[in-house]
Amino acid sequence: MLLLGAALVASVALAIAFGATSLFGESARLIILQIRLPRVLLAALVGATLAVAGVTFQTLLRNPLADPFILGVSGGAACGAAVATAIGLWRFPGVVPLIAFAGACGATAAVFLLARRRDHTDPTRLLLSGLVLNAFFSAVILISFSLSRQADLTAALRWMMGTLFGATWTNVTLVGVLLALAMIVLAYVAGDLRLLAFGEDDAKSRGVDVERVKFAGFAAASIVTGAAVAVSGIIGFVGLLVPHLIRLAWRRDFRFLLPLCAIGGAILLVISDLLSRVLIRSTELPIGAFTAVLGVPFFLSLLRRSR
Amino acid sequence: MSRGRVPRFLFLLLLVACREQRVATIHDDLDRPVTLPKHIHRVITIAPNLTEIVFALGSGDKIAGVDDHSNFPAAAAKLPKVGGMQPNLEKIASLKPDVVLASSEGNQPALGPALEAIHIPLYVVRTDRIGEIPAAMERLGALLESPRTQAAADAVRKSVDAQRRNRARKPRVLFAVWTDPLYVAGQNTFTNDIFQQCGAENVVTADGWPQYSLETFVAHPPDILLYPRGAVTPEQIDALLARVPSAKPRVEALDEDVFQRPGPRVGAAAAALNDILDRWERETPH
Repeated sequence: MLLLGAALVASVALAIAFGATSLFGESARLIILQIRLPRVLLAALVGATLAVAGVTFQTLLRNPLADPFILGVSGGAACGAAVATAIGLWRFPGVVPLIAFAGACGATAAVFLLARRRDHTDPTRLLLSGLVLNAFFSAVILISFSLSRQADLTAALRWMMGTLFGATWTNVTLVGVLLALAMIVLAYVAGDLRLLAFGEDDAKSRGVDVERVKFAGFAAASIVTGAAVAVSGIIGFVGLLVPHLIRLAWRRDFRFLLPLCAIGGAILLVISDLLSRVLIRSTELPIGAFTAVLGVPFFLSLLRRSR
Repeated sequence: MSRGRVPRFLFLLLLVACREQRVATIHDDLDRPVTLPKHIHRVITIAPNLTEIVFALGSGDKIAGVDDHSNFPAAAAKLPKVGGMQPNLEKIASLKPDVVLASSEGNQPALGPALEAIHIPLYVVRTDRIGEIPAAMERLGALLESPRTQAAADAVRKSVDAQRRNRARKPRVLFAVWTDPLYVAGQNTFTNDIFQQCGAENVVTADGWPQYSLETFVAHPPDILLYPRGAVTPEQIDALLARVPSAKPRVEALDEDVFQRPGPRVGAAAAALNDILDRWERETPH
């Protein structure tokens, strides 16, 4: 964990040192403090959020493929943002992220309620309702796209590609506070979640209030993911990639996985954002592309070695 | 077969033969082969700049339908609409055009084959850059046998030439088409052509319509920040500028329709920008 922590500090330092402009220009102070620093911190927070949400969902559902995307959290946010953009609500600053956040929370509540039967939440039903809701969200997004004007359409598409352009100190504080709260809740139920990973009946026989743990984990992970998606758009692969990477490389115990994933996700996104900013001068590339390009080869090599 | 029917059949055959004779295959601006009747009586334009061009050529009476965004001249707004980004094939077919005119910029690869299947030719016109407009007008005028072809094309050439400026102090401009994330007009675009014509310097060095970083905005602040009125709101511009407090550009809104449509009003677009640049020159001390 020390090693990963050091890597995080190094990548943040690197990300602050490099950018579209040099460190020693006329307006360097303003650029670093008001533009680059919040952006790097937001990258770290969003990366940590997505990875933590991923590992939580995978543990809760006992399914290695679960992540915020498959469960419809991001889809709900995207759907809210797309509809809000299509009907012209982008004219009012701050409204689209708010609706995206509402969409994420709404989707989470819907998935959870749909999967619930007789006071029991079945992991398979949870996953299925997430998948089906995702299909529904895609349909609504497509419809709102085809009704949009060209300019609105481009705006919505860019948002969906994911970008940390909107990083401000307000966003950083917002996501930071929510992530801290979610981490506290998750740390509180981490022991129970670890037992849950061995099976529900097992956990129950050891005195775990399974339904309450599920609800707490699901709600905490979803709300903070909603906030992250609202400020950064859709950045893929982090929630899936990072937890598996950590598990393959180090530990499988949820209590250790949680902080390790947070740090790993932060590193991945900070480096990806750095590349998206500096790789091609005078423009910025979609960050989601880099999370996959960086993470997938690393992941595949670990997967081969672990056999 | 009754006696009356034979001549009518022969007459129809003759008619078909005549029509076949009057067909010619030419190449459009994307070098696609297009088979057209010699005389075109009904056209559908599915790009607002082409609608403006056909009206300017004096062939507005041949337009049977337009796309949803064609709002100029006033007569165009009253014509039947065939859809926006995704034109409605049934609506197009019902208007029985001799040809559909599309612009290379908004052209969709699937549209040509779809129209071909219902025997309606698609002619794609390239007007992506300022210099291509008069030549495209001449080609279209020849195609439609328009009465004012030469006069209209020359008028555009003249109006553009009249706006050429060589400014001693080149104002640096930035045209924001979207603010969050920031998307701007780059080099080698129609919009940049107008900047060059008016003697302004685009602070953006990348080609096309790139995403632009706030850091670069601060490091190379523009003298004038331009934005399309309506497509971007003053509130969005305020929110953008609040994030780059050291940059204090003059903010000016431009008519989106005039400024982003490569058509006969390009001279008017350049004139509007020259007004803005002249005012900046007068009011900004050295």
